[in-house]
Amino acid sequence: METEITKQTNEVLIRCEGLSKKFCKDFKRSLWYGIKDVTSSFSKKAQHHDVLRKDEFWAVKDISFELRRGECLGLIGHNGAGKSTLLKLLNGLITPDQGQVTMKGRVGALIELGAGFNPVLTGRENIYNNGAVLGFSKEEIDSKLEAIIDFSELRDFIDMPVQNYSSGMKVRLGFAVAAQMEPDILLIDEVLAVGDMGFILKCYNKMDKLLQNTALILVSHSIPQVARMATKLIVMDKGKIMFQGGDVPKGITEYYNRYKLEIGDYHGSDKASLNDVALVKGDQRFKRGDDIIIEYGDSLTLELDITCHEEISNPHVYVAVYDKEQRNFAEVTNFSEQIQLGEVKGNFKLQMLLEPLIFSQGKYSLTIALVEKGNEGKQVLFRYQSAIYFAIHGETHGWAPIQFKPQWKLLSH
Amino acid sequence: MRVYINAPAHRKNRTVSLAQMFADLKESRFLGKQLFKRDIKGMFRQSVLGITWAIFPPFLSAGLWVFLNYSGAVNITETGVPYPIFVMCGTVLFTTFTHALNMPADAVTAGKSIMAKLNFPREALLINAFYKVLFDFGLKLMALLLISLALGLSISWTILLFPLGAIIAILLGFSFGVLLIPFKMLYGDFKRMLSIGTQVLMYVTPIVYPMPASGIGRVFNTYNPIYYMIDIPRSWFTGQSVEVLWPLLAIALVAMLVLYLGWILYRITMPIIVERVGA
Repeated sequence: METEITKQTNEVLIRCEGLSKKFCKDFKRSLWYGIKDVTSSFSKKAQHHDVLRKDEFWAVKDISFELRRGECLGLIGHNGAGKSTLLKLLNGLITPDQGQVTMKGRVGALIELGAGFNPVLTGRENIYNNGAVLGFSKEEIDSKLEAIIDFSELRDFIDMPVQNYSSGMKVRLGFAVAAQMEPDILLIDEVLAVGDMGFILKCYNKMDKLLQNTALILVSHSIPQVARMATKLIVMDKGKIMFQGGDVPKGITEYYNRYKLEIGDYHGSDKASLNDVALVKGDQRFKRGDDIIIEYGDSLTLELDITCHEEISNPHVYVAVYDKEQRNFAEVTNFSEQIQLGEVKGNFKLQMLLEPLIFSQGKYSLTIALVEKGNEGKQVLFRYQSAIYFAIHGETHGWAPIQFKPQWKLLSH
Repeated sequence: MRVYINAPAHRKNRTVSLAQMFADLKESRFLGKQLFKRDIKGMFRQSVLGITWAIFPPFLSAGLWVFLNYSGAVNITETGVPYPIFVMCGTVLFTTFTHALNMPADAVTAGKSIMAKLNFPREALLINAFYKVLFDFGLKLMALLLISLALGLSISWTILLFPLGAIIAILLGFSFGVLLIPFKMLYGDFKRMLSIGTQVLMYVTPIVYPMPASGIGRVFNTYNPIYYMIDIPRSWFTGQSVEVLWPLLAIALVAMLVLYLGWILYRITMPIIVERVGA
């Protein structure tokens, strides 16, 4: 088995050459073009394939790539970037206007879990319906029935109508059936949105196993999921390729840089307010919205200007670091260990020096909060979510936000 | 290993391979059957009266005509057999025909959402539709036989030919149904037109009344294939003599041809339909 896999590893299973597809924005006109296309499909003459007619646009334009067995292509981009259309072209559901796709082997698609379910029928009956739609034969389903039920962990409910299942349970059953496929090519489109953590991990495990012997294309808005699985990345924007290559973290960074979404959310109270946030680099002061670039390993200096409108006892400043995924991956909680303000009222200024910054290349933000530790517990006086953004520049870009550079020693050889 | 190439229609080899079509048909048999089982089971599980609903409509319509005839509201000339049997047999055949005409597009419309997401042999939806039509006809046939026997139908050997005639009616309806799928799916107008058209056809064709002896009705129906499609099997059912047989054979031939063309059109147009109106 092992040798067989390695033998076939280099085989190109998907070859996509200059693939393009256009869509029409106006529905009535789209139908009319449809009629024209039906008619012209009978004639040998090529018509309208290369030019845009009125109200048409390229939903997918000039996509080329190759995918081998064992490789996983991550496909990311904003809504409407053309990801799902590309999958439909690959899956043969629609015909391209230009270019061509060559797919070798059995194609499996995890695009809609539980396709073919009839809600009034039981889970067991629907395993057959779903399996049949996915291309299993009756004998295959018969032999895999127990495995499917076990994988779904729904044995107690398997003879209950599917309409009484929760959405998570439906996804479980759908994935359990689909997971029994042994495809050469697997297309996955955003299917694991529901489902509890335990089951999602189980699905990842299963996909990892499938990946060993398939060429996998993964469409997802969950960047961590893509980063975890993809060996190659295509970032799409308005139907075109914006980034393509094997350097997945670089592509993800480009994807984020392209969309400068600097959200920020300030919640204040009557007791205190945050007047100013700045990052200082040498003699330069940077405010929110400036392009702040810090080299890997350099220091970060944060300056805060705070006003207490009432007398506050021992306020505590809290700083949290968020990455571009809005994951809180680091925090600063040692303020009170160094500064005891006692009872304060009025304006005060603070500086925080943090070094060295060992973050991966990419964009980060700081969240700042002021907390009063009173008798009834903690009270948040203000909180500025993603108050200021900065970018780390450096050669280290991994997926994880913290990139250590420890000392290594060779103990034996 | 199977190799699939998806390329613009004008670059593909346009020769329609019969072998490929039948290979796909064979491959989709299990899925078609499974979808049929799913739909039938689903339908019955959520109903108390079950199969009654499949049988009811043509017999209700027949019952109404019997009522109208006996109450004197309409006056139908001698049909040669008890009128209730005559009219029931006609409405069963005609509703089976219209059912076969509508079912392909209905089944494909119902499968539209999975068709837009998954690639399975599209013939499965047609098989599902065909099974449903046959199933429905089977139920009606049993009811027709039972009621006719209760009404004192004298059985002749030609009744054995009746299912054959009905199959030809199904084939005619089904073939045009398949041919119309792309049109019905692109424009809602076709569905409405067809629904009105079949209603008109029901009344201009001698289904609830015998062939007029003279006049415009006679001239029209001499050239109306639906008349032969109903009348010949009905004559077999009631044991009356059949004067001409060739129209039924011609219908069968035309139906086969239309079915073949419709099938090719269905295969060619489905990607376009999925693209334009796919859910």
